Amino acid sequence: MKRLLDVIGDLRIAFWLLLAVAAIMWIGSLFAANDYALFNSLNGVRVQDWFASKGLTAIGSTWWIPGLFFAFTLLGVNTAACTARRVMALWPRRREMPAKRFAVLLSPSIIHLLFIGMLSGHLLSFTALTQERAPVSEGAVLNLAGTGEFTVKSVRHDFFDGASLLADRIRQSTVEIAVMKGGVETTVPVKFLRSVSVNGALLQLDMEKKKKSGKPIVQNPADENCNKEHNYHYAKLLEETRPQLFIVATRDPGLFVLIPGFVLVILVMGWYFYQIGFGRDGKTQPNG
Amino acid sequence: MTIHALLYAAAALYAAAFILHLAGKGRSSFAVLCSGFAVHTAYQVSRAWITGMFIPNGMFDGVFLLPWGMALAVVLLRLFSDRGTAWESAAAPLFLFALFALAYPKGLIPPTPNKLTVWANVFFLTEATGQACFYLAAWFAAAGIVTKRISTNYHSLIVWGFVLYSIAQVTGAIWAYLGWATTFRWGSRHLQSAVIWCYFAAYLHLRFLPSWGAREKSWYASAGFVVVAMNSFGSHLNEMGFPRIGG
Repeated sequence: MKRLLDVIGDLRIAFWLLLAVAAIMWIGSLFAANDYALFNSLNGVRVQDWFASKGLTAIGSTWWIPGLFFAFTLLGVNTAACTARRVMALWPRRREMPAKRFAVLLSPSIIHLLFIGMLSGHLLSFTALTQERAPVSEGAVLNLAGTGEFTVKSVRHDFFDGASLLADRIRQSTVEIAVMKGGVETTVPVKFLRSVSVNGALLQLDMEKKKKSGKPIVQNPADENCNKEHNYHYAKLLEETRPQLFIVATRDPGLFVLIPGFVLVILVMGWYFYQIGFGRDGKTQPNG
Repeated sequence: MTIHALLYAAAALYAAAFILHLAGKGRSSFAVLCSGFAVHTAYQVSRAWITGMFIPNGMFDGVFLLPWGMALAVVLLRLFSDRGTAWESAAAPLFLFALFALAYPKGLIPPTPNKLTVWANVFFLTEATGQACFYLAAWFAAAGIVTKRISTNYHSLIVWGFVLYSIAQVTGAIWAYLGWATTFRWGSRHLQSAVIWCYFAAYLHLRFLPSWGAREKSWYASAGFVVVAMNSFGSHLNEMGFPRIGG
């Protein structure tokens, strides 16, 4: 068993796997930059569904995604073996040193365990996420991603100060929805950055623009990028288009692992590096 | 005179600091670099009012924040780290990044509602200062190779950079969760950010691989300059084409 852990958890393998993951992601980033629309369509859907429907038809641009998952799987196994090896070596010595010293020595292993948790959380997000979206209009009755029925009561846009250079741009939008809670109708506001949880699904807002006729605008592929500020420029939109708010409902089991994990890993990492003087004295301990 | 004159002044002071360093006037070089940092800080703060109202996002635009972060790190290193290193020599890369900032569109990309959060500000602050540490580490590692005086004086810079960059990954993920309900977006920006993190996570493991000596580690740290540049300048150049206001 120990021999097996020594081989699988070898730090040299960890080093080269990290570089391999970095190289694959860099290659992927070039494809993602080259075809924003294709890879943006992967956001909000399960990776296996997307790969079956879109990924395979564009395999020349998407081949690196299975490679990335494979490399991360190997890295996860290597990290687990390395951590187990180190904890097995450290645990019998716990009474031979002060508790704080032992905690410092154990910290890298805890960080690595949390890293494995992050990898698992992301895998869960990528493979088990459910997301549905619908346009918002007053009076609409919606049922998205298992939220149960809710009614859109009102839609309101707040704008930046008219005297500023941001005049005519939307600063915040508020959609009031009526949901049934315990047999009682409750009105709750959904805003940008202020999502609402309804029956375990997260409700958020998104904005697109449409032609005044209501038809969607077909974007020139060369103009498609992550900058969506034009969707919120009201005066410009009103010339020929109108803003269209969407409600997006998301169920993501990975979030329950990721969000607490993020906080914990930063706290433990910060404490550990503080204890070793941020590498000033070269007092770092073996990882894993 | 616009507020951008402050950036020109800061860049000039960084250049002067490097010239003084070359002339062997270490104390004067450091004093001028501190002046550049003070002027640059004033510029970053004033960017918050670039639209005619207070929008903190203006202060945290990565291209302008990067040389500021480098200047801050050099000042802290000079004050609190070993005195044997000519930290002010970093005024050279500092000036080069300030030059790039001078050539860059200086307005603010109009913020969408999802960008008006402190999480976005903390993300850009920690990302830029983390990258600043990586660039400086690369500079001092390369200086050691060129002068044939290999040392590990850059190591703590990479550790600090890694911690700051990890905080950026986490705050960025929380921001993405609040704004878009997912902690990771499939796109070049997120992927390249993860590339940088993985590269320096691998570096931290080098200390425990006996076959990697001080010279090899210096080469690896120096190559970090190219890795960070290749994985951040793509988005900087891409964003040059975005509409901006107040520039």
